[in-house]
Amino acid sequence: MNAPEPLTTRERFAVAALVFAVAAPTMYVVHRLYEVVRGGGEDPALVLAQAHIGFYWRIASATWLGGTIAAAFFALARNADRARARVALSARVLPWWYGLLLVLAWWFP
Amino acid sequence: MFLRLLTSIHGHVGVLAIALLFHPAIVLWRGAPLTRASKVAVALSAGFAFAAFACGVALYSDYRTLVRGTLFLESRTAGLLFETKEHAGFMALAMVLGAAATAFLAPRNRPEYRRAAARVFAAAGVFALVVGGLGTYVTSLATFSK
Repeated sequence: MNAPEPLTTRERFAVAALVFAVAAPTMYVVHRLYEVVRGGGEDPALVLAQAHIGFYWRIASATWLGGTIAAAFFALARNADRARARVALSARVLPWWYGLLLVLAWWFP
Repeated sequence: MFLRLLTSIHGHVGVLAIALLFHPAIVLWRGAPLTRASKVAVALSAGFAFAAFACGVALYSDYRTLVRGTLFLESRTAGLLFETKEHAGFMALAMVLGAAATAFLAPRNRPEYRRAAARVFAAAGVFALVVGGLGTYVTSLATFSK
């Protein structure tokens, strides 16, 4: 029985970059939903009262969390066949996932 | 004056970024290896998206103090739509940067990476269209005074 083909470092970076493209927007929406659930929802008075730093903070935390998740995938991705199959699957799934994120961003401004 | 100029630059760079985002989506759709022209297309799309977002972030603090209140008085819906624009703007940028890196790093003999990157570019283009549309609508209601 042959051992699975290992991923090259370059390919692992490519996987991590693709993961970042999914994880950072997702973490941004999760952060915003958390704020809405916590009480900063659609009330214009609350939106007006928000400091501009809230937006910067969401950007920073989403980038950091997205980067951390991408780094975890970089560290854990070893099996080339499995990684490539998931990348191929992502081409079909990602448009739907991004559609969901856009709908959530619209519903929970 | 400076804020209006920066707003104008932000808008123009943003519109260019929208057009540039769909180009790599088309070029990479079938997973063909990157040519010099497609490398330029990918790099330009990431650069313009970053520049448009950077202008928006630079404007954001002044927008919050000088425009947001007026905008909500003008229309509650428009005020909330601007918040959606912020969210979609950041998400589009993160998608573009990730997809550009994927396209550049993918081995020549692995088209699945470029196909996936193409879908991400296409989705980012749709996000950018939403951002551009909402930005234009909101600016028609309230913007920085002269």
